[in-house]
Amino acid sequence: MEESLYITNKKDLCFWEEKYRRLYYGNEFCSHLMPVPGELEEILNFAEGKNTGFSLVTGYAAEGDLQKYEALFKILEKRRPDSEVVINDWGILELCRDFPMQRLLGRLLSKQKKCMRILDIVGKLPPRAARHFQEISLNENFIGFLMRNGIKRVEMDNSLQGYRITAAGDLSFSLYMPYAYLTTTRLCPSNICNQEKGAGLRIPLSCKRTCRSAECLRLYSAQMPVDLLLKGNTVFYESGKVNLLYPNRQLDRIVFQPVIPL
Amino acid sequence: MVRIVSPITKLDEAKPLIEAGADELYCGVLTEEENRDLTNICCLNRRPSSFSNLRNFNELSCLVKIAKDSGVKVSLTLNEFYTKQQFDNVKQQIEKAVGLGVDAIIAVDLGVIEELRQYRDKIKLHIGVGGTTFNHNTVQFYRNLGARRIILPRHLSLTEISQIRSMMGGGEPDLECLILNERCHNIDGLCGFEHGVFSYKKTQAIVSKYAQTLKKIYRFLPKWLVNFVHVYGMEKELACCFNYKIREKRGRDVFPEKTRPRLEDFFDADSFLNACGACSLGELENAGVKFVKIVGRVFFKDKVNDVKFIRHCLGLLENGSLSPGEYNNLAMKAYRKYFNKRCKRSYCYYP
Repeated sequence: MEESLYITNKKDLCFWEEKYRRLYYGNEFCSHLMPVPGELEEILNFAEGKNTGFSLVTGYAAEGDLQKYEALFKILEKRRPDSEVVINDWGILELCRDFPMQRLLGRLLSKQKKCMRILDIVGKLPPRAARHFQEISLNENFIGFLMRNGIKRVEMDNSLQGYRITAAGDLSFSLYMPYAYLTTTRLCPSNICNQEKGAGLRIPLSCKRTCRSAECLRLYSAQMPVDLLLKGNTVFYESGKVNLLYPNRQLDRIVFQPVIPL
Repeated sequence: MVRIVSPITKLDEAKPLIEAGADELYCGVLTEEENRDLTNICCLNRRPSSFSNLRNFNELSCLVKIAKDSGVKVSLTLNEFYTKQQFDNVKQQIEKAVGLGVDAIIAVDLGVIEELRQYRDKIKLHIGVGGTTFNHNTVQFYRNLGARRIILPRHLSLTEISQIRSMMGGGEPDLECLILNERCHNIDGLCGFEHGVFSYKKTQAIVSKYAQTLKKIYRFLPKWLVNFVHVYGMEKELACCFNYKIREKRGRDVFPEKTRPRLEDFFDADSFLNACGACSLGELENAGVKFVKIVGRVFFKDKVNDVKFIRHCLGLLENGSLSPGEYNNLAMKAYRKYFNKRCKRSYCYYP
């Protein structure tokens, strides 16, 4: 099993250990937190020094973000054409087609059932329905699409109710631990605290990156079996034990997140 | 002029909705067999309840006939992401929809989109909100797969919508935007909250058995009771509207005490349910949006009233002599008249 380190902030390079074979860097959830070109160069220097593989993690992109992504891809093309790009927006896949980097299906697009409320019911459901909640939404047509588009790896979360990998074909899977993402928004809760009360939830035009310097909020509700971790614009939960229901060789990479990836 | 797309959950709503001014109708189907086999929470569309769906394809057939007689189009929602367990049922629903002459399927799953290629001449592909189209490259992606219309996500500003329209060039796909009800705070399509769990645990059997009866009697209930049930149901059912508390906090506080109430806005069911974008209708039209969608395939929502309200606002715009300020004032007055409550800034779909 290959182990990789996923960080979103260069100060977290301190978590690097020799056991890691690959460095994931970037951001899935907020384009304001994507690296600028100079930062990416620094990270690539680090990866080169460690003689390790590199994966650029991309997120969903508004119209104004596309140029930023293109600039990063140009750097990768020039310096590390053997890199991987984690795709979390079909528009970014379109943009990436002209570049030589390997493309991966990110966890925002792999559509895994991951709500912790499933824990409350999965044991009471008929077998087929229970199995539905333990599979990724990769039906045969979807897999065919991925193969035709050169996507051979799928990124997934370590969902609490357990999961099976039953996808046919040559797909490989990566498992993100110990933080699983639950939901995300552009109406950033970190940002709305700067707004007047009752003003409505707005898409922030600029960002002070306050989430970067703050710890997450641990939220609870009687109706939720585990706590939610709210950081910046995204909600996560902790899932530290591999919940794969049956061993499967297609799962061959662990992506370790030492801190919440935001 | 922008066209109105309205939800429908039961057959006898069809004529009133069309008379109120709906140009298109969209619906889902949850059959008894599917409900029994995979349960309601594995429903093939994003409304996992008998309340929110037609019961069978006979009802869909009747709906298509009524709609076609009035020149109104019908779309079927297959807007979930499907596992292998569901996919045979999905294929069956597509085949039946094509056979019945349904105009379009609203889809987001790449598997469904691929499946629809073989029916390209018979049924149109509309990409649902869950398709997360945030930029013109994504429009191009779906265009290459045969999309004729794209329903844009809630989380786009008017400026961004306009940018997408201008960057994607002319022609299809057409753009559709949401205009009324249920402004989810999380991104539809990237959200892992599971809905339908409460109804499965507590009341699934009752719901299935009495859904149709309940659908019939709700109109005789007082509005305050319907609203109470709606908000109560949402707070119990939607994990995004639970009353969350902060358990602990370490490090620097990004949410100081005096601004904490604003965090509550994020989980506020009222602004979620009553969201409205009527003030932005003119700007949406100028941005090149051709269709506006009323959200809410829930049986207790007065869909006819919703359609009448949006039709009224479009009528104000058609007048052409109103300044933007005058139009906004009249639209807000209309909101009060149609919904018997004041419009609030926090309801705004496109603030």
